Amino acid sequence: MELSARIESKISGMGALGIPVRLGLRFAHMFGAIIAFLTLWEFAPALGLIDPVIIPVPSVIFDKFVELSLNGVLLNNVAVSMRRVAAGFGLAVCVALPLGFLLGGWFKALETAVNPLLQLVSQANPFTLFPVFITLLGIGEISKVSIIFWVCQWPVLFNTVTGIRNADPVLVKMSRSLGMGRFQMFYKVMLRGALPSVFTGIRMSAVFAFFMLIGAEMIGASSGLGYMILQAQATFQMPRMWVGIVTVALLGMAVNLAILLLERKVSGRKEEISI
Amino acid sequence: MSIEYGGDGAGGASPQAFAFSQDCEAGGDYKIRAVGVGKTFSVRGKRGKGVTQTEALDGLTLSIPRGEFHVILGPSGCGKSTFLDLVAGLAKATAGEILIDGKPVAGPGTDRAMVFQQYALLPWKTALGNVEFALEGLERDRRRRRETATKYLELVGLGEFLGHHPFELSGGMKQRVAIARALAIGSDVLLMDEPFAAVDALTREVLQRDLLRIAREAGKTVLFITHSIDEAVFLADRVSVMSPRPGRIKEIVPVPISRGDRMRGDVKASEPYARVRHRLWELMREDAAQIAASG
Ligand SMILES: Nc1ncnc2c1ncn2[C@@H]1O[C@H](COP(=O)(O)OP(=O)(O)O)[C@@H](O)[C@H]1O
Ligand SMILES: [Mg+2]
Repeated sequence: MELSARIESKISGMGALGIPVRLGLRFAHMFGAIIAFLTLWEFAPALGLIDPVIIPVPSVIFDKFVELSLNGVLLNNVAVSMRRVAAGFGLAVCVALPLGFLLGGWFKALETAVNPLLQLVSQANPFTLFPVFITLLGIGEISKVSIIFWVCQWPVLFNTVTGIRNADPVLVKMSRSLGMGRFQMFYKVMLRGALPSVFTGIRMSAVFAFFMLIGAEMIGASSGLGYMILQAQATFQMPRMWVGIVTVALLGMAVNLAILLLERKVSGRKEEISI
Repeated sequence: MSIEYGGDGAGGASPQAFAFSQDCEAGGDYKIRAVGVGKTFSVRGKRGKGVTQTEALDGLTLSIPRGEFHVILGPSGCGKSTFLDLVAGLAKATAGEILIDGKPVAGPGTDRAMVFQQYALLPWKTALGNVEFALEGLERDRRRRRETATKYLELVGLGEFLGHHPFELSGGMKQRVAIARALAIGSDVLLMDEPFAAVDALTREVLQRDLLRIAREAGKTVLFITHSIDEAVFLADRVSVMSPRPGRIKEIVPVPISRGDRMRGDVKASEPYARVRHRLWELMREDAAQIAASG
């Protein structure tokens, strides 16, 4: 009697403990690699692996990050950069998405005709185009936003066209057999079916937006994260430079995550692929 | 007892099955008629020059009385799908005409419902959503759409899977959703293009039984396409055997088995079943020999 009660209490005690233990394990699984990497980095100078003057340790970068956050320097630069990304990337999506719908769904012959030209134009290395944009538009905001726009529109356009072109013919046939009109079918079947492809394009564009942002800000700017990084390097403020690098990476991750969440919200449940 | 296949087929093994062929002779109540239907595909060559003509159907004539379960049997590539598309109004015949209730088919419509071999379910919608989708043009009230869709999914035995997406369902279950969708439309005519060809043998048998029962209870006229002899014998009131390209009806074989008898477990061992099966096999073999000789 007494024995079984004791075992009982032991088990229930373990059950209560089980939840935090399990959460801890999950946390370790998700972030273990990052924590191990940061730990190694932190102690690398002590082991003589890296020069802390060139590559400061995480704790130093973190301190600088807090300092620059509190005095507003970081926030200002982030705001300037994000405005440029939002303008270029937003404009690209607003233009390329409807254009992709039209070319993919309605004007197929036109799409076939202009596709080689578009492929050619989009293949131009965007960095080689910086001088062109600067010559045409100066080194103000417009040229920066324009170059981000230019680069971001292609993945959205091509992936949208592909998504619509690859609509399942059986679904189209099924909708037609229901007596559904052309417009309804385009909207309810083809556009909806193209969504995964469209979102792939949008996520690629977001990555390109940050590439081009930093490029533009390093070439001719007096504000923004790219400028901050270059400036810090020129004045040998290594922790400050690394704060910039880490911030750009974090912003990119955040934007990607936001798009993923939006996609999940729009697309609903998805088949999980396991290989 | 002797039965003349291809003729009037007066055997008397089953009065129900033969009621149809008698109706035909009387020129009575045809749900679907095809009169001298031809379909030629013109495919433009690779470099935009030269047109290849494929004659898929030529002079196909067929009359299907109301309430009949009619199976079209033929080797692959003989034009079965082409014919079904014409009946569905998804394509236009290049010769002849197709009549539903005596009126020429002008295009697709909800007086006919289709079931496809590849299920044709919207992957982003649930079973319920897929059936509701078909009702969007028919029923304005959302709640009524949901009720109807639920009713038919329950009828095909998927009452517990309303919220499942296609990727969470087996092949047989997906085809049940597609059948529920076709039934929910409420048309008199069901057009089915090899609907069970992609599911495993055991599931197929269960689906065939359920389809037979449901189609009979709802009084549907069914035009069912297959290349399986067994499927044809088990399901059909009459089987039309198609010849290879250009497709036409080579012979119509009635199946003298009552609909009640089909539900019995031993029907496939019965004498009429074996006889019809053998006859269909002979007709198909002739074509196979012909294809082998010409190809
Ligand atoms: N859209 C099309 N364009 C050109 N040829 C076609 C088309 N659809 C079918 N065919 C040809 O018509 C013939 C019959 O095809 P189909 O009706 O699909 O046969 P089945 O369904 O009996 O297997 C085949 O030779 C096929 O190549
Ligand atoms: Mg076919």
